[in-house]
Amino acid sequence: MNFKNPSTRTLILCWVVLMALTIGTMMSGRATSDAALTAGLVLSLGLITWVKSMLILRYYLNLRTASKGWNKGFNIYLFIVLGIIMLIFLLGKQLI
Amino acid sequence: METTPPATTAQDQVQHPTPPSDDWGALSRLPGNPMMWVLIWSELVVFGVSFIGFAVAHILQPEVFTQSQDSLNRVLGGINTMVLVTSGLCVALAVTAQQKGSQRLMRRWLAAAIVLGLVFLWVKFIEYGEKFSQGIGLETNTFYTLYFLLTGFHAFHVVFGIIILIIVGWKDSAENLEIGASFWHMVDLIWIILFPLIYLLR
Repeated sequence: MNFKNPSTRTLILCWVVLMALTIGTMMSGRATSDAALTAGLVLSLGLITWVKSMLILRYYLNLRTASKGWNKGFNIYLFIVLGIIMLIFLLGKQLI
Repeated sequence: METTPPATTAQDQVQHPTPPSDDWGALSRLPGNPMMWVLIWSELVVFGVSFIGFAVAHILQPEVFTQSQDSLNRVLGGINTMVLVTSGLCVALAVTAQQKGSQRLMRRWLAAAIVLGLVFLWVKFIEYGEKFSQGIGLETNTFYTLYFLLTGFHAFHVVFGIIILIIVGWKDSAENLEIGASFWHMVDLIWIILFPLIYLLR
């Protein structure tokens, strides 16, 4: 298999996207306020976190050069963990 | 002159059940050291279960968790995320520099990553200090117990990661650097999930 590392340009681009998504995380999570989060914001937080974790895996950890099976395995695992967490929080909102 | 290889006995087969080989099976289809990926998977599973446990505890005691969470500095947590993501970039660039044969540049990128790692720990130190000065500790309530345990366990990984980066910068074989970089990215990955869960979700 060809495990060629990403180029400097790709890594910097990935970092820019990660920084932008971190700002997106703070906005979705209303970092400057104590107000409660709507269900939409909770889902948005989960989705952004999933994308960020995939970017770290694919580019920083170079998982994109691994087999498709491994890529799917990691993506599905993180999707399930984050999905369960978001589901628990959404369920909590229904119960309150 | 041809020599006959010694015949393998049943005892030899028992003593060496795994033939010495570079073939790691499915793990060979992952970049870098396969054992590092085993560690990454195990860390993701351990933290994954802890994260789900935290979410369950949150909905069981929503008032305690929301009030306690409001005392955290969310912006500082976000800044720390940016610090760690940037240190991850520095480590990735150190690997690229080494592959291009520039040992000096590689060490500079590693030094930058280490400094950023120390900044992360310093921010954590400020956060913990604030809480301790308010009389808040591990036993204040369930939120703080989990907050200190999860962020503290992660901070230990950061400390360990910094030590690894120092070692791989000093003994800089390509494999050592790749393993150290993978560990650092794993620490980064865990924080990416830890931050919204502990600081933001409510």
